[in-house]
Amino acid sequence: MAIRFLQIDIVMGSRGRSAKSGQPRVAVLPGAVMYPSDYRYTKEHEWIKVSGGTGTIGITDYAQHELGDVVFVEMPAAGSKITAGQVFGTVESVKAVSEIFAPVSGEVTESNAALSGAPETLNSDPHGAGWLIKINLSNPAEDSGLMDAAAYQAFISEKDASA
Amino acid sequence: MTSPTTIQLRKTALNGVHRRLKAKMVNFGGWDMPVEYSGIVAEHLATRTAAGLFDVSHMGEIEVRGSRALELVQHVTCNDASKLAVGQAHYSGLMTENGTFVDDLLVHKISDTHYFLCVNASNQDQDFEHIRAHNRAGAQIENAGGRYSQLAIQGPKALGMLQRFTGGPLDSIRYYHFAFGKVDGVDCLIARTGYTGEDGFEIYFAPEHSEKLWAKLLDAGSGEGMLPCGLGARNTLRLEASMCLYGHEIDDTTTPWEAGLGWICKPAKGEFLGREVLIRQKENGVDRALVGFEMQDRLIARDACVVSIGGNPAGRVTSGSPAPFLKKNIGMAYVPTACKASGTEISIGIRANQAPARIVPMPFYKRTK
Repeated sequence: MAIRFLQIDIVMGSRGRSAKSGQPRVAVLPGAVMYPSDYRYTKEHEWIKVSGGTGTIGITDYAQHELGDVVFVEMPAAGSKITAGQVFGTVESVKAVSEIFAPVSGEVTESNAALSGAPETLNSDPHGAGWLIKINLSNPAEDSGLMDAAAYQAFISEKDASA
Repeated sequence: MTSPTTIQLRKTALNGVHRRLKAKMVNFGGWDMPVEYSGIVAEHLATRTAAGLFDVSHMGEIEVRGSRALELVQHVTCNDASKLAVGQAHYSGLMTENGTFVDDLLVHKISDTHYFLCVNASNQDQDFEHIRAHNRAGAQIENAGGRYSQLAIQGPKALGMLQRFTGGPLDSIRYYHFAFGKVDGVDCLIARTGYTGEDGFEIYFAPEHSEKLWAKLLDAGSGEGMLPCGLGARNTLRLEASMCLYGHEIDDTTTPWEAGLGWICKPAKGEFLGREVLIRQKENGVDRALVGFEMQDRLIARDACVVSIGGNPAGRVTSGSPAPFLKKNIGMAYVPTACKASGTEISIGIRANQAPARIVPMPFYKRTK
C-alpha cells in the first residue's frame, strides 16, 4: 500500500508520508502477536489468507491506522486478474488516497460489497469483515515468500522505532 | 542503515501534549503539527455538534502600531480598516501590486494606533517582509508570532465551555469582535472568530500558559463532547463552510473578484496595493470564477484534479474532500465565468475516471443560528 497524503497546503510542496508519532498505537507484550498467525504479510501492509488455491486479501491494522477514517474503497470486479506487486485497487481515507498492491497473482472471484455502504469497516475490523477481495491464486504456493505474523510484527515495530 | 537528515520543524508550545495524546503528526508549513487525534470524522462531527479544541499557535501575528498604523494597514490590504470600530475585526487580503493575494488575514482594531493582524502560519515571514517593504508610512511593525499561542474553541457548546473560565459575559462579544479578558486567570485577546463555520472563539495569549489552558479547556469540555481536533478536521470544516485556504483557492495569481471575495475588496476606500488593477478587472469582468461542486457518485475529487465542462478541460479543483457532516463529497474549483452557474454539470478527472459532479451554491454548510 502506498499512501499519498494529500497536502493541506500545496504551497508547502513536500509530498509523502506523515511522520509517525513514534509510538505503536497499542502496546504489544512480548510473545503476543496482534496479527493472525495464519495470514501472510507484505511490506506494503497487505495481508493474504490462503486456503487451498483460494485467497482472501486485505490491508493490515497498521495500514488502517496510518490511513485514518476510510471513506471509499475501489476494488476490481470479479473476473479481473491481479498481478503480484502491481496496484489492483485504492482505499481512500479523508486525507489520503492509498494504492493497494497485489501480494500474489490470481483472478478475483469476489470483492467485498459491504465496504461500499460501510467503508469504516476497514478501520474497525481490517483483518476480518474489512477484507477487500477473494481470489483464485495463479500459483498456489506464491504466498510462502511473504512475511509471517512474527516477521511482520517485527517489521512494523522497526518502522515505528525509526520514525 | 543511517537515517536521513531530518528537517528541523518548528513546534508550538503544545507539541508535547499532542504527542502524549498520540496524535498523528505532519510537517505543515515547516511546523510539526497534529493532523488528527481520534480521527478526522469524529473530530469534525464533534465540532459541529458539541465543540472542538484546536491548537492554532502556528498562525502568525503581526502588530502594527503608532500614529501611521491605519495608513499602513490600508495601504497593504484590500478591505477598509477605517470602518473598524475598536474591538472589531474583519477578514481581508494582503495584496500584491497586481491585486493578487500575498495572504489572507484577520485585521483586529485594538485602538486608533494599534492593529493586530493574524496571518497564515506558512506565510508569516513573507507577510512581515512584504509589510515591511511597503511601510512607507513609517508605522511600527513587529513580527510577533513568537509571543503568542493561540487556541480555537469552536462549536455550539464552545461559548459555554469557555465561559466557565472567563469572568465577563462572553456572549457580549459579538461575532467578528474581540475583547481583552482573563481565561483561567491568563490575559487573553478573546475573539469571536473562527475557521469552521461554527460559533466559537479564538484566544491569543503568552505561550507559557499553553499547557494549562489546553488542559483546563479539555477537562471542562470533554464531558460534554469536546474533542481535541487537528489540521485534518480543520480542513474539512472550513471546506464545508466554503472558506478559502491560501495556496488553494487564493494565491499570488488570484484576485478577490475571481475568488468570490469581492465583499472584502473596497476600492472606494482609497489607494492600496493593487487597487488600479482591481478596478480595471471589476470593470472588464473576470475570466474565471471560484465555484463549489458536489460529486454525483461515490468518487472523491481531490486537489488539482482536472475539471471538464462539455468534454473540454475547464479548470482544476482547488480543494476536494469528503464532507463528514454533510455526508457528501465536495470541492471548489475555478471554471470559466460563463460556466459558473449553479446546476452546471461538470466532470472531474479522478484516476482513469471522468466523475460526474454539479456546481452548487456556496456555502455548502451554514450553521443554524
